[in-house]
Amino acid sequence: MTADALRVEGLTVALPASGQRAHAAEDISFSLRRGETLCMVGESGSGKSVVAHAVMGLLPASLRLTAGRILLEGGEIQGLGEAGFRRIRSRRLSMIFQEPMTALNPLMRIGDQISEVMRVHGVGDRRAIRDRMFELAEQVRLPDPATILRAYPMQLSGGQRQRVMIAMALALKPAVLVADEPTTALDVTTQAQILAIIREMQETYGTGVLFVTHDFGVVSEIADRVVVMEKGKAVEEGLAADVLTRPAHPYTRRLIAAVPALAADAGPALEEPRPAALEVKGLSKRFVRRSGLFSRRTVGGAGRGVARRVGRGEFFGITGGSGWGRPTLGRLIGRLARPDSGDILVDEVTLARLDDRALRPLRRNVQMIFQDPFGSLNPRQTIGTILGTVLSLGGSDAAAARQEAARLLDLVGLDAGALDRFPHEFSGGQRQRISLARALATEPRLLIADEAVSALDVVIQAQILDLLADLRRRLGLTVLFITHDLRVAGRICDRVAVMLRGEIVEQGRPAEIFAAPRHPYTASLIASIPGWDPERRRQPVEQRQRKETAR
Amino acid sequence: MRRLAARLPRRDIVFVASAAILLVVVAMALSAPFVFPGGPWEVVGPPMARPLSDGFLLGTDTIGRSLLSGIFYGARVSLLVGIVATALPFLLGMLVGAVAGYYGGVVDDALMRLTELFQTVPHFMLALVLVAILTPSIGSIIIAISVVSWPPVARLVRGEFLILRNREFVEAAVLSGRGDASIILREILPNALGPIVVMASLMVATAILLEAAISFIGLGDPNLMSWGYMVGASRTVLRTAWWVSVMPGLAVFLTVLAINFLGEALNEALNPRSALGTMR
Repeated sequence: MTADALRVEGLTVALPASGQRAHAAEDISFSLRRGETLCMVGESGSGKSVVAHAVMGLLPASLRLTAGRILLEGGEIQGLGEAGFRRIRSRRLSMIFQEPMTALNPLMRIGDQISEVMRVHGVGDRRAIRDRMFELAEQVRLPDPATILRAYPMQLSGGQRQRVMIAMALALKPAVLVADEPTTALDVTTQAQILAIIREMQETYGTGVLFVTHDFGVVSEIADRVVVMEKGKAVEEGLAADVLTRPAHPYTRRLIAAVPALAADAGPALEEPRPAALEVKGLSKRFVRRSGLFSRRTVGGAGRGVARRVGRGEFFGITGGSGWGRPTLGRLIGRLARPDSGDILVDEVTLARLDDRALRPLRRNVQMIFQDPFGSLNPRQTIGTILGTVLSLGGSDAAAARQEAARLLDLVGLDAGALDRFPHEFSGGQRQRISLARALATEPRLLIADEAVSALDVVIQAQILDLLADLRRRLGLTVLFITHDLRVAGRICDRVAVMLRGEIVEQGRPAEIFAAPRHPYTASLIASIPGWDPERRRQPVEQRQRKETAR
Repeated sequence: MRRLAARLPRRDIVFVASAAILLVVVAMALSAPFVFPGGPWEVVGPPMARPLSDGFLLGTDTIGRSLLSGIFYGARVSLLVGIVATALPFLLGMLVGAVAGYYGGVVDDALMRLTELFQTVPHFMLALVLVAILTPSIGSIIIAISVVSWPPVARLVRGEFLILRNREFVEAAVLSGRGDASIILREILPNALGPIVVMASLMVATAILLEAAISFIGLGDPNLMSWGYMVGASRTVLRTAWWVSVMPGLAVFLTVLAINFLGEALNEALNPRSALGTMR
């Protein structure tokens, strides 16, 4: 009788011959007990997702499992064909994904998708399925289950969709749940809720969770044990508490160090008063929004009555949970959207009321870097063309523009060889550097970073933040930094404003806000940062079981 | 352009065969007056001679005209119609769709209602009526085909523009202070081109088919030999002399098929990411 829900022995997955290395994953071994959470940690490209997909029998055709055994509750599953896997998936082995929007069928109602899992495995009659569905909806804390089960995926928020995925995955009480970066696409508050739900469900069903993540903050929240992956190899394994407090491998230390701590180290307070680079007065934008579940339309205001002043050379952070307000503000100040009232002054020139034609010559003064490193560069233009177009608008001829483009790339840490390459040849972090170079090409008075590091994994995120801090020293940049992550804001900003439903509820130096939040919303934001609250750390699984037997 | 040529699947048998067929059609169109100096209407032999008999490669038609000569001259009409009756509606549709998709609002509404007006009328009927009103000639046929085929282009281009309009790289271009024309032509259009090029290649094919259909009914240009006319004129003898209608029919079939395959290959080549995919 084995206690292991899942056991992987010497798992090796070969990459196609042209790949950067021979194996996507090499000689990986670990075991996962019932009720235990094993975190598989590593950067993007470390092979952690490959292992997760191999366990599920979901490897893409280009990857081959060349060696090793995968045992699910003592039985080998690596040799099962598609039909064999179909029988055990959901029933004994489930998976949740990073992007719940693409993992759910957009044309099927939520309820139908959850009940389908039970129907295809022939579990229970209609009535039993219905009861189970409502039970699950309650367990994952879906608000108003009756309405949500009739809704379509697009009508739900990201956090709600991920709850639905969890309900589907655990509907048949599988022994093992594979979670592939399930909270990476969510903001911190939602992330904390989802992690709590996974934990509760795990305790209810005794599921073994294989949790794939790049974030050691998340690891400290939920892991019992940790496997650290680097370039396809497991470099460190152990109890979460040990790995977190005494990391043995340098790579592990690097990953842990990359987790932004909630600390403000932006240096001494800037001497006041500084000339204002940006002034925002009473800005408001009303917009029609279809509210989540009901087709009723509601009208909301973004940045209602916001009045702020950002000094030249200052890094000003705007933060808050998801929901409307925060992202719209960046687009309003960048004048990609038109505010209904209020005023925006950049270097004392008003931008709020200008029409497109009058705005055009002033556009160069305000630049943005966007969230999605894949969507912000024209896929059909080389980097040289992308930068050259912006530079030639400023009056450079072709040769001078190329030289200047090379200088800009050097500034953001890329070499001039990038000029003749297309965006798809670069990684996410490199693309964000290119976006930054493009924004700097106009020598803007104000740079708006709209969730510019949110889509990057922690190591790359830290590099981009360092780059911004470095550029600030060299160029005296003024940056409006919009992020949902307080840690990021605290790390780089001189002042931070916290937004709730389109209004700023608190503002000040990060150190002061973090030490003594005045608004309850700020306090709740701080509390939901993964790894922040040591009280909430998990006890090892043995202790929990001991408690249970004692009960 | 050289980069584009390098990305075409030159080892793919379907691509090579399609390119070869199209080259043959072009060669036929260009060489027709030299190979058959007497023209397509000249009676050169007994009526309904079988293929490969009496020195006629494809045989003769009901009154003894060489089918091969007719197919050579018909290629001229088909190619002319295929190219001009695609280019005109293509440009018109692209203009309408780009303006509607980029500016949105009232402009979009007005242009799209107009587009729908044309789309709701049955294409072939409208084309026939237009040819009849304008008196049958190659020019009126091209105009008629153009009038009925621009709306789908406009709708497709508009859809692509609506998606791309709010992409972050387009917003970045707006922020750098560039004009609308520059953004439309340099940022959005190249990214919208893939599906549009495929559609254009389909349009070449449908234009050739439409012309053949119009000529089949007897509304073709009376001074020009066309494949559609050849099929139409010989349909009464289909059971006694099948080759008279099958030969020009095959010419239409192969040409249209080849153009479709080439369009798809072109789409693959135009997209740098999918070209990378084939390399792996």
